Amino acid sequence: MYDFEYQRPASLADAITALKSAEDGKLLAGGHTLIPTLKQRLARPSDLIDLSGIAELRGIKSEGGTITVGATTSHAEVTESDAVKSAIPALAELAGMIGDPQVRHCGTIGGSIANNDPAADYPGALLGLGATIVTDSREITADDFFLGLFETALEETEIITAVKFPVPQAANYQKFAQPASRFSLVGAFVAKTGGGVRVAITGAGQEGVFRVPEMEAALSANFSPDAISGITVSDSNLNTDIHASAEYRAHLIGVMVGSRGYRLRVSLPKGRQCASCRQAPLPCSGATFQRSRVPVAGRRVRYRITAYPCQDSPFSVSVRPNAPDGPPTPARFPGSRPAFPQPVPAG
Amino acid sequence: MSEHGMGASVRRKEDYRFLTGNGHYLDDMVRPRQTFACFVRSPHAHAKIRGIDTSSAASAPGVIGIFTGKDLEADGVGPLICGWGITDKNGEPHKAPAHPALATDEVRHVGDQLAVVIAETLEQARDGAELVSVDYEELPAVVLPKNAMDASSPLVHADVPNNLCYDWELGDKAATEAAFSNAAHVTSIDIVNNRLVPNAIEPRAAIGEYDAGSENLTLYTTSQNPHVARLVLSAFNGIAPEHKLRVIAPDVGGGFGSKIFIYAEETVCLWAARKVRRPVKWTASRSEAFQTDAHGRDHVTHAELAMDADGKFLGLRVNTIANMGAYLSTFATCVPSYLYATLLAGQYTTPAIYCDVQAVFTNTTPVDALRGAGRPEATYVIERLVETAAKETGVAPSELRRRNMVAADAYPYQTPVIMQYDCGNYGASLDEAMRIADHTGFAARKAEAQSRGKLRGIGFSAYIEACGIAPSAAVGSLGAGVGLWEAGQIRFNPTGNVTVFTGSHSHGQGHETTFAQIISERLGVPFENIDVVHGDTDKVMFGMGTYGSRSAAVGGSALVKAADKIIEKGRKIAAHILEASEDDIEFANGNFTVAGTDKAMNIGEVAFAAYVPHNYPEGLEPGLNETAVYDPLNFSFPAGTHICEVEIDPDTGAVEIVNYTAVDDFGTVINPMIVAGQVQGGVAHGVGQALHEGCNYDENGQLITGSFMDYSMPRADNTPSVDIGYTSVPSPSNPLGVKGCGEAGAIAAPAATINAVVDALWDLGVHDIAMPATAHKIWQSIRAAKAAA
Repeated sequence: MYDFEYQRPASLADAITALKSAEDGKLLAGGHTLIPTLKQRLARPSDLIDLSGIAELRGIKSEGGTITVGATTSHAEVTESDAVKSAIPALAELAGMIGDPQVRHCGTIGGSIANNDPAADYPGALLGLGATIVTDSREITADDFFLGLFETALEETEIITAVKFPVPQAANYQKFAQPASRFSLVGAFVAKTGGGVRVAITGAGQEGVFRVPEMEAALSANFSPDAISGITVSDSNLNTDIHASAEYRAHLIGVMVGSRGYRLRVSLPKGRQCASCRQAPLPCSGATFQRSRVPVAGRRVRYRITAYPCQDSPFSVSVRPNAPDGPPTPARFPGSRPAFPQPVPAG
Repeated sequence: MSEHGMGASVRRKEDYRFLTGNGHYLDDMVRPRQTFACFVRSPHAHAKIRGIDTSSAASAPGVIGIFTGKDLEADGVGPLICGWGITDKNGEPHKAPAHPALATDEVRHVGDQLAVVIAETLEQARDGAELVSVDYEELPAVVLPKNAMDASSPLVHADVPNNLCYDWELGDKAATEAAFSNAAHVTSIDIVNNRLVPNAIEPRAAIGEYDAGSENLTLYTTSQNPHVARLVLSAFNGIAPEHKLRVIAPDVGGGFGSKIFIYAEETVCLWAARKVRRPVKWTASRSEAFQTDAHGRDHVTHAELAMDADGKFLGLRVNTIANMGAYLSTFATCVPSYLYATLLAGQYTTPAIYCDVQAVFTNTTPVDALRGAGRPEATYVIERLVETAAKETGVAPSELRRRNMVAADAYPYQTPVIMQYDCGNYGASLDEAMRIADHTGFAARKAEAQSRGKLRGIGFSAYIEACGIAPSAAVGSLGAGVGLWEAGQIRFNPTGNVTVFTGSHSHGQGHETTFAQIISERLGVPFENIDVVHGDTDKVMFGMGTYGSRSAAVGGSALVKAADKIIEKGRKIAAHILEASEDDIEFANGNFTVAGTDKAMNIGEVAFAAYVPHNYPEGLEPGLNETAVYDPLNFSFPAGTHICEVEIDPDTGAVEIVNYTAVDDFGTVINPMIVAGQVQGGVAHGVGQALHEGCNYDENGQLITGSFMDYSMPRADNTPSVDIGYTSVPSPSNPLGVKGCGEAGAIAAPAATINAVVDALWDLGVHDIAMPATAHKIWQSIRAAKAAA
């Protein structure tokens, strides 16, 4: 790491002043791309302007059908936010799929989208939901914001202050992870909005996140996995690397957007056995699972995991996400079959 | 069984300090006035060094010294060595091109080091290294082992024609040819054993320190075998005579073989400490670890199995090209030869085996022993062949194996490839594994999976390995430059507690616990009164270190011998004090008793009497402190059957391991909890090789998988929870009856996993898949098979 001046302004105005007066200033948010880059001596900024001291940039608000996430809000805060979970659960889930717990407690939404890594998850959510990026000087729609690999519409001295997400009727994010980095190899964000269905793909494109108009049209006409079964995505602008060919990525887009089955790996209470095959512990090898969201008092959300054992005697357990002492939260893992978006319960 | 004796799942003594951040790893150490080293490394896979300009670095702030290979040469520091000589097919020794610690004329792989900058701080050392200007003339590189011998391939070393280190053979070629001419069925396969990066959690590190008063040098280093490091640094590199050099390997965070070797950086830090007269510290970055830790595996193999009409194996013919990388690492030559071909009989009675191996140089990181070292490669060849043969002939894979296994009453069993198996019961392991895995229920599980759109497959791996490395005379006759015995010392203190010294080294295996269990059991000393000391050449007598699952079998046996000597001496002391004949003294549970009486002395009282010998046998030396060296009679031969069951999502190619069963014969088990941990860890390693890990270079020799962003280490959610069983036949080759357990999982799991994947895909027409079988690769294979159908 080369030497740099470190500044930690307390207000947005001070941050802008610092950025404008620095010779080659860089904004430091979560630092999960910037710090490794500095450590490898691949960047040599004159100043690091740390945004973590600016209270106005952090936090989540829900009002008038819009969720506003402050730019320095961490992924962990988004994934644990009751406001986000009840309005756009797919966004909360997406934030929970980024990196590992350490990353999620440092990394921020503003840092992620300003960097615009082509395999990052958040660009998929912003473009899929038709979000608006708020900066110190203007508002930019997601459609206009992401310009290409690591390239955005931001000016040199512009600072993202928040992201405004319109609440959709239904939304879902399905991620097939790159096996080593666990970034998205293909991430598909599907949102049903008043203006139609939006489908955004991250991880796959040579120019970063992009929309799939054919799938959007088909799903707007018929919001069902069957609607896209005949649609193939061209692989001509998709990435090829040691982890996946463009062909494979194109294929996975269809699988991620359109799969209907969902299998969860869950740990169920010990001592219970399958009602039909008597195999214990659960789940028995024949079990399949479905998950539904159940709003409960106190604006908490519970997930109801319904396990279908070998035959037809379903039983249910209630799982609260991230409950410290409840049953473990269902884990997603690469290759899990994605769920099709489910409508958000009213209220 | 006592609470802390043999067979008890005693919690590991060392874990408290590891888990509470109180371990002493290399990078935790701060020596007074220490300086920092940063190495200048080649960005090219192959280049001529036209010049090294250190002038601007020399004047950079904080820089204390800059050294190149010329400085090492001027001081008479010898090149790095390879300690195992291989004699090729023509009776010639293997080609051993020069391996300078700092490259002088050419660099031969990305990361090859050619200069070192030593400075007051690490950042200043890095700044200085950036200022070293190297004038390279890029040369063409050869990367893939299968291309290395082509006439058109560039030479890695100008003095090694065809890049061929050796062309070696083992077995009876004529008898094997005859077996094939009589065969009713021949199965052949072409396989690649993928290159792996070891990736111990703690990267390699070193501090060299010079004491001007005594002229003693000390090397603190991440070593699995500090005495061997001292021997090599003295006798071959000539840095200091052995008695003036101390090597300390403190807590070491994993090795997997990669820390056996004597590398350039540690050598240079030690030498440079005397040059700058201050301690010199270096800790590898993870990027340096990827580029310079000796890699593992990297074989290209064609193998054929000849069978008669009843499915009896008649002959096995194997040709392997083994990648050595750019230089020979410390034990590189023996891995694809004597640690590989000697295990090609597997668990089977194949009467004729012939193997030839071409070891080749390429412009890649050196390759050497990695967890299993040669034995995973052998098991993969045999078990992929047997599984494929079973599929081709329609015989159940378990049945084909059972028909050919060495019978339980056939020991000692002499294989056609040197090894003599001392004991075993392979059928018992197979049966137990099939029982635990509910093999009979598989068909129903497969059908049920099919109803969910999933492809389910099951795969076996009936492996054998040679551990307890090794009888010195045997390995000497095969070319080893060292003996492979082990030393141990039991030192009673006057107050009756015990310090145990061992020449083996624990870098995660838990020796401080298991060796204390052995001593507690043998001498009746409370477990908590026993401390185990290892990893310091000034404290411990010369020993050979830890690798090849040898520590319990060889190091533990040395301690048993030392314990026997303690008992013998204690008997003399007790007989004198108890006024009885020595022959009447019985020893049990820590007490010396006069037979048939209640007259007794505890071993602690005997120790006190030995150190305060006021009433003591005439002519007997005071003190209670015994040393023993154990040279094993034979290798030990852990064996067993692993069964892997997978489900594949044909839409994505993703594999899920739904069941994994490991039934192993490790002989006597000292600590079942530690053994289970080794099995679980070994299987994670093996599954990692099968499904995730693969080290890739591009055609120019640039390392593509140079970080965890691209090198896919198995993580918790990739790792099956292993159902573990044992079928133990104690080894007759050592007094503990132990066989070794550290490598078994890594040896067995690749074949079991790939056999399961291929089984799931067989009906689609996929009959082989290369490791790592990633989702991408499986999807491509399914597509290719469908297109061909």
